[in-house]
Amino acid sequence: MIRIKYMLVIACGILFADFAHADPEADRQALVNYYQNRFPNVELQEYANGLYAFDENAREQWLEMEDFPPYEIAIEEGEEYFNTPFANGKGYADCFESGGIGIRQNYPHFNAALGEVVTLELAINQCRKANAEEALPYLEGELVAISAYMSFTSRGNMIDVQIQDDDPRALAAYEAGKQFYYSRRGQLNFACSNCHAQSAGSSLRADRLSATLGQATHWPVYRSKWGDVGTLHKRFRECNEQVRARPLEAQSKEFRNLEYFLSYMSNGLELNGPASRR
Amino acid sequence: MRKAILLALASILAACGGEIQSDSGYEDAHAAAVTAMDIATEKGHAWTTSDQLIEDAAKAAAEGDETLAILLADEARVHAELAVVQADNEAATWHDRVISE
Ligand code: HEC
Repeated sequence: MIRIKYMLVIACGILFADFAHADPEADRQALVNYYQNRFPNVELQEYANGLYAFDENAREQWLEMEDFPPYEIAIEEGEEYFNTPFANGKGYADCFESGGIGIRQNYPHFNAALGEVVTLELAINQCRKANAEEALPYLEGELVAISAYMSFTSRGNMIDVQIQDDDPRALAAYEAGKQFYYSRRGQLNFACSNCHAQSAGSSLRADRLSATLGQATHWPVYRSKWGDVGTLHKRFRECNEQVRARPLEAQSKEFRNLEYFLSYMSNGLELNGPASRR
Repeated sequence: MRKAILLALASILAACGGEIQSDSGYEDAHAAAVTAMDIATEKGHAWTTSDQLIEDAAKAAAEGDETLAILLADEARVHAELAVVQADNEAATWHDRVISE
């Protein structure tokens, strides 16, 4: 009898634990509260500007850079690629809702048929494969430009990532992304959250550290350091390498789950990509 | 908490250091390192330090410096073993770090 009671307690504990961890909206609200308590003068939408929300000097330089946006060429090239028909006569516009214009906020989402998170970049390649075209590389070139153009047409739209509560796989993908964000990795033994939550706003070498909120609003990004536009997953890889963790592949399942979590944390913010960063 | 983990890692490092066997050759040391690295990779927690060390070990072996090659391969293995400890530890404790209120 006692044993059964124990088992019940344990079972309830497990149930309760799972329940307690699986509330994305509570997670997001907790983060909003956390940052707003620490930085009462920073407006919520300001987090979409990353470290420039905290750093007045860097912000001025950044605004100057934005006068002649270095990602403009990528947008123009992306538009051209986007409108160039495939060999079969169809095009990207045929693959996406609203002809692919102003739809970045629909990504990432959990695709029930596939059982996985689909990011915009993955969807671009899915579109190509469905039309008998070769997949494009994820880290640079044509695909990044197309992504930049599609972001540009979506500026000002509100991020509203959905996690279907009737599909436990969607919640599991979100949880996996959350675990990634809060797990220490690499020889330096840092979690994403160590830098971007606890240390947000503080300086690391030449940079202030951006906050988790807003980290997913503005991709792809032109970085002076890259001399090019790059995707969110390219940034993930660099942040892995910084702590001497071997970076995962762009568009790996793990990174897509991470993007799912991170984008959910940016819910309620406006898309403002592409953007520029140092 | 962080100190405790670092201490644990350090003592494992020391323990592993004690394990290094000089009588087995480079092939064995290399194979053991690869096995440990595969486990770390599978757990999604591989360290770039192991990658570099095993590359350096191969270079030393190619240049005929077996002693150095074994040393480097052993170190690659130790780093991979630490990565596995980290992976398991994080799987059990990451929740504690979540900002939840
Ligand atoms: C050792 C500290 C550190 C860790 C750990 C770290 N980062 Fe970063 N991250 C940085 C620095 C420095 C920058 C550049 C300054 C900035 O924009 O925050 C950056 C930038 C970013 C950006 C771009 C922000 C923007 O506004 O464009 C994203 C996204 C990001 N990191 C995500 C992550 C993720 C996800 C992880 C975990 C896999 C992670 N970071 C781990 C230091 C870190």
